Amino acid sequence: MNVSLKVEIQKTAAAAWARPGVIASTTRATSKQDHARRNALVELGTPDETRRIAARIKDHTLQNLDTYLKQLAEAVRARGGVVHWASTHQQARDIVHRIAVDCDAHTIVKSKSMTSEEIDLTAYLEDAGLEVVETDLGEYIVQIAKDHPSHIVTPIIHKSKLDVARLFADVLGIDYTEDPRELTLAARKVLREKFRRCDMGICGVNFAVAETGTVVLVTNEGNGRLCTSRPKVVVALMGIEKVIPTMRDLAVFLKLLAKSATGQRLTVYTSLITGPRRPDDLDGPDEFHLVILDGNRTNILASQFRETLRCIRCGACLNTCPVYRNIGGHAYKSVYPGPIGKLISPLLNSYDQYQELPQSSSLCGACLDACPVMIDIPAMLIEMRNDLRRKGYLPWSHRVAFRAWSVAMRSPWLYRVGAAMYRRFVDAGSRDGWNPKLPGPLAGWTDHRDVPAMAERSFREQWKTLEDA
Amino acid sequence: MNPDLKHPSLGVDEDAFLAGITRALADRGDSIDPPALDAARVVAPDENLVERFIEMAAAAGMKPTRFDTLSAATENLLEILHGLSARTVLLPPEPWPGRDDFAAAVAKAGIASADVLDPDAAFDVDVGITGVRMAIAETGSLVLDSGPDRARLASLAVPVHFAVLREDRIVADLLDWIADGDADPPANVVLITGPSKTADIEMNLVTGVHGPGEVHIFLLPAHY
Repeated sequence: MNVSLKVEIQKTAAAAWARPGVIASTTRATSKQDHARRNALVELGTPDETRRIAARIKDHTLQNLDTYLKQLAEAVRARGGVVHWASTHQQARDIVHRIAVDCDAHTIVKSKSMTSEEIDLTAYLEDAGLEVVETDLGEYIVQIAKDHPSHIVTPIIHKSKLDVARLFADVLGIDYTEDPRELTLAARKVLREKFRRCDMGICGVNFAVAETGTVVLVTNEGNGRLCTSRPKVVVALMGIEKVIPTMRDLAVFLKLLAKSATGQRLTVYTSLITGPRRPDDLDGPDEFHLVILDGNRTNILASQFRETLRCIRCGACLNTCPVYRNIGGHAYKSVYPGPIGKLISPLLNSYDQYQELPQSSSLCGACLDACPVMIDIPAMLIEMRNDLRRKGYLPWSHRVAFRAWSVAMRSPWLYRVGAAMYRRFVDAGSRDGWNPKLPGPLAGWTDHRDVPAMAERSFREQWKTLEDA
Repeated sequence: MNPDLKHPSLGVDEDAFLAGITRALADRGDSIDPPALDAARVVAPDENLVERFIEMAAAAGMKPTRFDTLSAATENLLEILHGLSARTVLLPPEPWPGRDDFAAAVAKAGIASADVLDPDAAFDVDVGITGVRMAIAETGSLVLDSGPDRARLASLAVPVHFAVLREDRIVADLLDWIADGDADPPANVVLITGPSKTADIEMNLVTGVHGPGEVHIFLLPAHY
């Protein structure tokens, strides 16, 4: 068993609880967004029908992913863009670095991209001596605090305004203020200077439309649009699963994405970028590069977990998840936390690294209800637990215990003796029908909760008494 | 478009990359056809689109106003500019209905127009004024294209954005907008649905983060 990850998860969750406000902020923000999502989706009239359509578009696209990626690449090139293919994280980082060197970039402005977090792009470019500035307010705060995002849509959900106030006073040297408006404007001032003198922009990709070679980017602050309009060179980074066939398909996803993420009808800026500027445009980039990353996704495509590639990274499953709300995003030890993170973190990385994550779910199913593309996360989690067992990841103690259970269940005699011994020894310390402490390897279960004690007389014994009477 | 690119393509060979995906899809299973999209429609084309647009644009935090005449609109513009103590505007030369009247009114009021060829202009002016290709009633969104004589930053880097829209340019649903602009889109299209905003700090809504904190929409009758 990968004890270290399990311990890390528990330690991080405990640390989040110990710091005043972290879990409270997370719970408040996620509840608010979850509520807003429900209200917004009602406007679609038949939201489940729209979700079904979106899921089917993704399934169709994934089934023909080779065809659609080729179409996308050809369309991007036809509009003067350059397409680069990266099988690994390292290849993707090298490509972006090489583009930066070739265009003699010094200051790179970057808008939020989960794929860039996945390949740890910013740190890599900084180590190579480039100035990289995160321009989404939350990501900027994470960057200057040397922290990590704890949510895929709202990265500083774990921070209070006091945290930000202290940070800005220390790092930016402004007068201490807790007013969110003043704090935001202080960041704006710094970032606008970066925008004025940036020479390269990096952005993520929410959707890439194969028929036109259009890259779609949504942001509320406008930083995504600035990062792709102001610098002379723009690099967009996407995983292979971001492609969709047509512009009309895009309409369906736009109807769902913002509503599922924050409860907005539409994100403030939906930017559609099709190649570099045209000759008569007054502004816009001279070069447009699209980096398409595999990063283990092809293996997912070939597996029984293909459905997870439908994900549009809206964060609805995080907001609605009782586990996420109570342990915070950092506890998952992954770029992708929450229910979908429990699936794609092991898949994008390895079972060795993340085998504990699929176990940390009560399988309540709230994530499936929230998912705009109807990924059956609970079913996938059960399948992954099975897959882990088949591949020998189950610890020996579990294997022995379940083997013993299986034998006992098939023998009435063993079952009776086992139950009697359980009552005699395990339930010895129980009070009022609850057992506060299980022995030995089962003790972890009762660290944070009691277990119901067995009835004093079994059903069979009671039945026998009734029959005799 | 740019033949001087030093490295046409870096990284893995395209054919090899795509062949790997084809192998992963060896067992494709039953073919999944693309679905019909009409059930995703929210607004029918025969609804009152102007009313719906105004309601949704206002709900998104923008300030839509309907005018009967061009002169009423330019008069109102000057009032707002005066209230903002605006001294400079950015008004790219792109042609749109009523543009020359707006430009004349601004000049007459003694407000300077910034040089559109100055790449920093949008960062320095008080106000940007642009046309709008179309708008979407479903979400209250403005659709702006890049193109000759248009500046992307005029609707983005400025603190206050005025968008001038003809009422007959409003379509019902997101599905309709996309049907219109599909064949060969311009290099940049943006759907604007509200002022620039964030709620990153404890879910407190703050506007004017990187883009405009105010978006005024002037709706003009179809005959202009």
